[in-house]
Amino acid sequence: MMLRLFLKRIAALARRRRYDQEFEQELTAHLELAERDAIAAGISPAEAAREARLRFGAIEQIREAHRDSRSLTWIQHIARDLGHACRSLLRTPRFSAIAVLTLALGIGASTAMFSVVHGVLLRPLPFREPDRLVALYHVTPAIRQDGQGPANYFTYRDHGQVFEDIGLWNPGSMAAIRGGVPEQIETLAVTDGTLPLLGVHTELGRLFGRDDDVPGAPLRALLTYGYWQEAFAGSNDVVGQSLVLNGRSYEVIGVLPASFKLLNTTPQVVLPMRLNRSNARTGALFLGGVARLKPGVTLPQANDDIARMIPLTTTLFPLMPGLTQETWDAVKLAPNVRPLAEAVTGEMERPLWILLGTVLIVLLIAWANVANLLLVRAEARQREFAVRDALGAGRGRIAGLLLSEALVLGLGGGVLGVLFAHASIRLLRATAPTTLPRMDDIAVDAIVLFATVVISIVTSLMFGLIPVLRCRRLNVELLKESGRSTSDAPGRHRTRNILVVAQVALALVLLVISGLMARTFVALRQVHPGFVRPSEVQMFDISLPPTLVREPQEVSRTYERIAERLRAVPGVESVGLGMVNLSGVAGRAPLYVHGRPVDGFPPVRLVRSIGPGYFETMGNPVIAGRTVQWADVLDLRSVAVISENLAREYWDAPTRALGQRIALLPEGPWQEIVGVVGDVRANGLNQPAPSLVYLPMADAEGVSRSVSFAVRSNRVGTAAFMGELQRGVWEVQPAVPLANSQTLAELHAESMSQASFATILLAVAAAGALILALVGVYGVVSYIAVGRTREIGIRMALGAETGDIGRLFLRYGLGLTAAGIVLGLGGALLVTPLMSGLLYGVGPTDLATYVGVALGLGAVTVIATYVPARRASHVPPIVALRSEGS
Amino acid sequence: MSTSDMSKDKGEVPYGTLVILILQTLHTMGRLHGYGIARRIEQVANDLPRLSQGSLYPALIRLEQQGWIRAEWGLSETNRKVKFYSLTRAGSRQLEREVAGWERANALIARFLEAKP
Repeated sequence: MMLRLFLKRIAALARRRRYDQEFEQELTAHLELAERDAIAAGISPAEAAREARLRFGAIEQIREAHRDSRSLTWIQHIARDLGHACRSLLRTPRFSAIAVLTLALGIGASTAMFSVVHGVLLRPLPFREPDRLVALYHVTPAIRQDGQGPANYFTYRDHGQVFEDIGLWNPGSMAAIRGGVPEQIETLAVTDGTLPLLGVHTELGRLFGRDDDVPGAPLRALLTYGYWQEAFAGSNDVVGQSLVLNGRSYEVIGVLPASFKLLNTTPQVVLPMRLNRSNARTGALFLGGVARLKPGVTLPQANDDIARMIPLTTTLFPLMPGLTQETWDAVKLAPNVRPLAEAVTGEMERPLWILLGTVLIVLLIAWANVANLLLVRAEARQREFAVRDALGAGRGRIAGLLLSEALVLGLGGGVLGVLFAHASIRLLRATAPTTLPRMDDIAVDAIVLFATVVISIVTSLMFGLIPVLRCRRLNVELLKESGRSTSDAPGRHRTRNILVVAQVALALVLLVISGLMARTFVALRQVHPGFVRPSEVQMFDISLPPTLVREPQEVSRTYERIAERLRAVPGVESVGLGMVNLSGVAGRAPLYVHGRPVDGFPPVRLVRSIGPGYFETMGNPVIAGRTVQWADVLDLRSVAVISENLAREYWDAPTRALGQRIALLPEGPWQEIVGVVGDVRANGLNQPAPSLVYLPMADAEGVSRSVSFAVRSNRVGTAAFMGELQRGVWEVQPAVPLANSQTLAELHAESMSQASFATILLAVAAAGALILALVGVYGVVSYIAVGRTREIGIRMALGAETGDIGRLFLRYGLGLTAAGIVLGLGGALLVTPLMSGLLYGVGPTDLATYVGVALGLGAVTVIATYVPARRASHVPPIVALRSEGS
Repeated sequence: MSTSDMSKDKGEVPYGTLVILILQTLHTMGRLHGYGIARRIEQVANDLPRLSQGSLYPALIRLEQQGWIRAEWGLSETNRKVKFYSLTRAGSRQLEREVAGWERANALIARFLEAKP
């Protein structure tokens, strides 16, 4: 009822003029009717008008009253209450500051974390109807997430029944020239359907059509907004200009909008994929796939449709060379269609929800603390309220005042919290792992602000309600006590005790979570990654397009000359190279071992193409045999190096692996194992080292035109050194850009980043929780000690020792803490299994962490209890007896 | 009834009386415009002190906001656009409550006045 009245009056406020007019209409009609009746009663027309007005009353006053009735008098009441609350809070600045800061901490942390969750997980993708967009993956028993291939694409696009359209995408890198200086830029190849199905519209020009996406079509390119601004200064006549990539000229046909972002790619130029249907072979899966579902189609239906078409692919397109129908069937390829949004967020989803959960725990603790403070404050004012009540203020007004105070505190905390959140998001952007997707989408925006306002109001009403409920028991008896209260009965503190126990329990849960995370971090730091002194290894990529080096045979020789020249740079210990990318992505392939026939499909291994000097530079120990030499690359020798764990798996001893032959296809070509090297944690530090096969970076089709160089030197990290490396490369081959230069340590840090990011945030949350819980315990014990000062005086007058009094309060505080710790341990046991995926080297119920955290929390709460307990026991009895208590 | 009475809570007796008068009038007469309500109250009240007809209007708008009466535009006998008021279901319930409260208060006052020292 109140709400409806309020809303109607708000509406009336907005339509004030119309209501005024309506009233005037009614007034005129009324007077006219009255006049008519008066004339009918036999009064003269002139008299009748006067009579009508007279009987109506004072028109101006009634007009005002009419307006008042429509207006918002009780909004003014609220304003008055809020003003009163502000003044009342300002009279106790220390209390108000602590309460507002506590709330700001809780609200700020949850706002910041909610911004992250909202930006990364909840905000829809910047495409038209993003709910119908899916990522097309495959899955096999051996590979969790496998891509698409040309043969699948053509089959699915032609024969699919549930897809509006299907597109492929493939990130890459090409050499461009800007202002005469060569640079390596990121590219994204797409099929003609990819951009339209996403709903992308160009900023300028047009998208690719079917004619652009066929082999032999004129070379055309789209610029992304950022590259357009950077390299073309946002020029409007860029469409039609030409762009030289890898030495070939592309016509710019359009510019993509700034909002364009496909999964986690960051291209500068988007190109048509120009797949050749006649070359498509079943079995090649290396491209990304996206699709738009027809309206109403579910994921299971989409998966069923793909499952139907997987066998169809084999009938329409021949198998890859070397692949037999038998081995292909053994791969057991299955569809894995997932929402595109899920593919974007990937593995960060769970850690983010856990982090949001932990900051909400901090908010709960902050809330409990402020509720406790308000409760103490309300109890101290019981007499004030009793007097107000007796004077006829009404329970409603007193409750209104208490709620207004809570609301002022809550909104103050909210405003400060938003500022705090804004600052911490900037900090977060600086420290967040590069694996955190959609970083740019994180901001305190309207929705986040709305959530914060709701949180502030709801939380303030929640903690405001507790003292209100307590004050319901307000009675006139309080007034009779003539200002001298007896000792506090323990039962009166039940609400506060519950709040303290809850705080300790929640803080313990958070401490256990962050303790487990910290142990994970320590465990990860102790893992040997497989390489040594990563900060001394400088890496960069170069490409040699046919325009620079025409003959394929010359490519390897150019690499060799560059490596030789780099070795001559002062301070360089060794130079190695491999195919892009040295430490990151590796290929995956089934591995056949000569003389070991398998039924069906052999296990899939990681495969890396490397060049001479690779192991020497990375620091992999050579366990047996030798490493790859220039002769292996230049002469296309069929040799291989394998990791120690792979050697032990097949031949027990590394040395026995030497001379054995392996192949990636069932019928060969066979490669002879010439060396065994130490294991590397190639899948991330928290994953066991995978078995790895290293092949010389040349294959039957020659050497890749893009390679990574790795240079080990103690001069790494200085600008001068990087400049010398660059000049060294250009001496051998001018106009070759050095791309993606970073140290191995930086790459290494990325694989640690998720753990360190989560650890830092959790540690901050846990520290906040600990401080708040300690303040809570301290506050309650000291308040109770003060409230029982008279009782202490009596006890001491009757002969109690100082120590007895101290122990009394210590026991009380420790009782609360112990209850909180026991509850917290139970809560932690329930919650921590949720985060087991984040942990490494420690289980979710790790005994040492639990015991350590419980003991640590117990110890600090003893201190928080001891200080006020000691103070209480040192009050002289006579002072205590005279004290008025609370 | 003064204007200051208008803005006070409905617990005030003069305003409460007016509420009962309006609700009861609409209950017996059905749909009426403001002047019609005023006339009817005057006719029934007959010899009681006259009420200022205008004071009905602030009361009407409050009753409308409470959802007890509804207003629709119609034409007066003089062919002018005017609001016609009628009782809502919530209004009927409120009338019952008001009448019951009034009777209780009446009974109480009557007993007080009868009581001898």
